[in-house]
Amino acid sequence: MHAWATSEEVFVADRTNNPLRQGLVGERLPEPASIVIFGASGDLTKRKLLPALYTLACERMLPPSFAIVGFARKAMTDEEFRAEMKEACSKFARSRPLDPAVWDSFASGLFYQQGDYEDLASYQALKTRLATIDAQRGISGNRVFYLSTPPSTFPVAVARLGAAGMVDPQADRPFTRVIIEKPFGTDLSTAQTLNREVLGVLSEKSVYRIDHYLGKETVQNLMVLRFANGLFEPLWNNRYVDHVQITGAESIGIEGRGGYFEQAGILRDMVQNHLFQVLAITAMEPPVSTSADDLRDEKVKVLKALRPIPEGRFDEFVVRGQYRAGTVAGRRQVAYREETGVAPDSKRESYVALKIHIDNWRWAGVPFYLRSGKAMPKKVTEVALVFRGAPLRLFGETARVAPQPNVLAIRIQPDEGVSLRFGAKVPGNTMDIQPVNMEFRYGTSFGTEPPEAYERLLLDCLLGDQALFTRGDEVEASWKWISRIHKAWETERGEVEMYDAGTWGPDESDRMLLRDGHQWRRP
Amino acid sequence: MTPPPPPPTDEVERFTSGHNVAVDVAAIERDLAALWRKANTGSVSVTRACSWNLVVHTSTDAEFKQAQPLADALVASVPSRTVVLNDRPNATGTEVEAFVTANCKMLPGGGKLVCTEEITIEARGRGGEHLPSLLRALLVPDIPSAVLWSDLPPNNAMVAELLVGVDRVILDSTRASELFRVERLGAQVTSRVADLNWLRSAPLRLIIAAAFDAPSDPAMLFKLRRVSIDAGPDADSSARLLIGWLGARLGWSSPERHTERGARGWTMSRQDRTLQVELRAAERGLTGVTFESDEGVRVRLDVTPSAVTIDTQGTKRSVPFSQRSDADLVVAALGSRGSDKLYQSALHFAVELER
Ligand SMILES: NC(=O)c1ccc[n+]([C@@H]2O[C@H](COP(=O)([O-])OP(=O)(O)OC[C@H]3O[C@@H](n4cnc5c(N)ncnc54)[C@H](OP(=O)(O)O)[C@@H]3O)[C@@H](O)[C@H]2O)c1
Repeated sequence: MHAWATSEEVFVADRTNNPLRQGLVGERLPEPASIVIFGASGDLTKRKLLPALYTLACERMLPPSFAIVGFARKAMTDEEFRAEMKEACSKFARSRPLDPAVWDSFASGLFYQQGDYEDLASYQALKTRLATIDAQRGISGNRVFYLSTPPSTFPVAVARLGAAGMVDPQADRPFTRVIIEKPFGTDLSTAQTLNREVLGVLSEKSVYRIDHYLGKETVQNLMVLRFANGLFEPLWNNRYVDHVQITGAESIGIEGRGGYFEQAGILRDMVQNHLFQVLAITAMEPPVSTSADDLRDEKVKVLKALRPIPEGRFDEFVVRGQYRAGTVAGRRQVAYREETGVAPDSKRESYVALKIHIDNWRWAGVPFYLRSGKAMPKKVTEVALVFRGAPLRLFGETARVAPQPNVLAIRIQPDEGVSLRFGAKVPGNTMDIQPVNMEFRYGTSFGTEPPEAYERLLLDCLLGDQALFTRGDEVEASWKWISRIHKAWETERGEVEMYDAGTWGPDESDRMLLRDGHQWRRP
Repeated sequence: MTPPPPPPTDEVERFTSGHNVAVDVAAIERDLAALWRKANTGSVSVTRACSWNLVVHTSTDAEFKQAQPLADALVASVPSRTVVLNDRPNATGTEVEAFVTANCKMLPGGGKLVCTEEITIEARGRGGEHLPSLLRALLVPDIPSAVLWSDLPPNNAMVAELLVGVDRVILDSTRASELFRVERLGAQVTSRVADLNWLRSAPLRLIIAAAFDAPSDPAMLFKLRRVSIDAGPDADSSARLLIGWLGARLGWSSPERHTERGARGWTMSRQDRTLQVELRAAERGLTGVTFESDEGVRVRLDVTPSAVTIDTQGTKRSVPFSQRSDADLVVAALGSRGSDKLYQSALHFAVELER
């Protein structure tokens, strides 16, 4: 034996353990597999899924034996599907223009199968087709089913996959994984029902509920910032943090999606999923490990510790708003009620602000303010920790401007980065203090472009890593808290507050913070 | 072709537009700070970004020509303070001269220039002796530093001094006839040695590994009778590193060298049997790898610049393949791939082949 061979390097060869794979760094290459996309004729497939898969192919992150099978009701040949996907990838892929050699190889693994989501025979046909493709491309039965159809079809699709014998919840090899798009339910009871239906056929370890926010680099960086540095964590608690603000703002209106948005509203569309994930990662305890369950256990604990809003006092903790006509970044925006598909007297919220308490040792007494809205001045998602002031105003006499609190702001999108505000002396003969920002920007420190959220998530699913997917109990815990607000809105007479498009939301939202002596940041 | 515009006459403009500005060797940092202060008084704000100290050492014109564009391409991905040490022991003239320039790019959205800085020190004759001490004064604190050679570093006292406290040594063993020099260097320094030759072959190693994933049977790798690699003279050291990797992963030992039908070959032990490994002459580059097992199973990989065709017992599939640019490889070398544990064992085995 050679001197460099250590005891860990005793090689065991079986059909699953490839010795040449051991230790290959930097590359996480999945096993050969097929991805079946349900709803492959749809918008998400074109704008996100295929472009993400193509980019993974360009970066050699896909295994050599790989197939993508589109499944939908629309009639299409393989060739037509390839042509449509080529156009989509040329428009939306991160690596553009298309590389002809990579595209040709990628396209040779693209197939289309017409079928009806309700019809068992369609699934039998799909199963036969997959077996043929497996043999042709050297795939040993590993499958990912991506449900990119409207949510109403999720239960039937899962049930039929089970009935056709296409999923085996217990088998690791070959694996079967099912990715479920958002929204996962519309309230607590529908989420529970959906979980029951899905878990009646699949095991939790084969269910991948997507929340694409978790695929964003900066959301992951939030964990790195907290748990890979010794500096922040000691300050990350009620002793030093005065309050936390989480903002998820969009500058666009509802863009013709009136039908959908009238049903959903911003609380379902943005807060229950994306902002609650950001909240959970910001507030959670350090996980025991980065394994999927350890991480998700900690997030669930936060969601379970959210203090329920006391009955009859929703107005103190929730502000709902709706945009009037206005101007956003120089562009006219019609009022929400004038959008197509919206009732002229609609009370559906396009803005919501929440005051949340987390009843645990770390956060007792620290309010978390969340806000999310459409038709805001700009698109921005950020978390800001506003720290308590210095215990003594040493420069109170001489300083002409009162010192501002320190703020650690984590910008999730766009222009990802972290900034820390602190007070500095203005050069001169007086003790004037001015807030200055110390900024770290991704763009300037790492020249490389971060992967798209869907690239990361698809790759993680192929690799069997569920850490960035939401678990069933997590979804239910967040719905449990959110659904009480919807109920209150249905039963209480509360009004929706109006705000002009292109502003930071209704005045009532500012008043909610002002009552606590706080103020929204201008992101 | 229109000639490039002449460099601006204003010193600050020259500096921010990527032209060299001569500075006092004894006060490089002070002069640089003054230039930044002046650059910041204009209408656009200037942000300096720096996450690595990148030192490029060159001792010939050819090396300088090769290293300079590499450093330029690199700062686009890794903001760094680049220090180019142009060391000419045989040249005459002023012993040491220093120049500074900034590499700036506008951030998307405009309004903000992000700049990295480059310092060039030209040493002639005995001026080279001052390089390590000048460098020590110029390294930005609290961030790691890397020294880059486009070949193997010269073996001398100045280089040894240069390497003290460096976090990463990046070299390229592609043209090295003797890999033991790399191993010896690795033993001398406390830093990690990243070899662009090794990093360049990473995609191929991945494809080779993937060729034995299910439904193929990876157990075949432990029953190999013969492994042949086709490589041109330009890929000789790459081919030896590849054998080193296979040997280290698959537990081969005691290579004994022989020449058979014009091909260089080794007989090696694997558990209780032997296997033949041969390096067959090709015209250029690494063009193929063949694995044959005791049971007569044959896996052949044909490598072209754009694809690798894997032929397993007559069933063929093609995998797209492309080389990464040298700048990309250096970025990889600065990251986790620059401290690849497999490299050490592969290199060690490859050195055994030279015995
Ligand atoms: N687009 C986005 O940016 C986005 C963002 C987040 C989440 N999502 C979620 O991702 C999924 C797909 O989104 P999408 O925008 O691609 O949706 P989509 O275009 O409306 O629908 C996808 C496909 O589903 C099939 N389909 C449509 N209505 C159906 C119905 N009533 N019954 C059965 N099948 C139907 C259609 O294919 P055939 O008629 O050919 O079968 C359609 O091409 C949805 O669950 C959505 O909520 C989308």
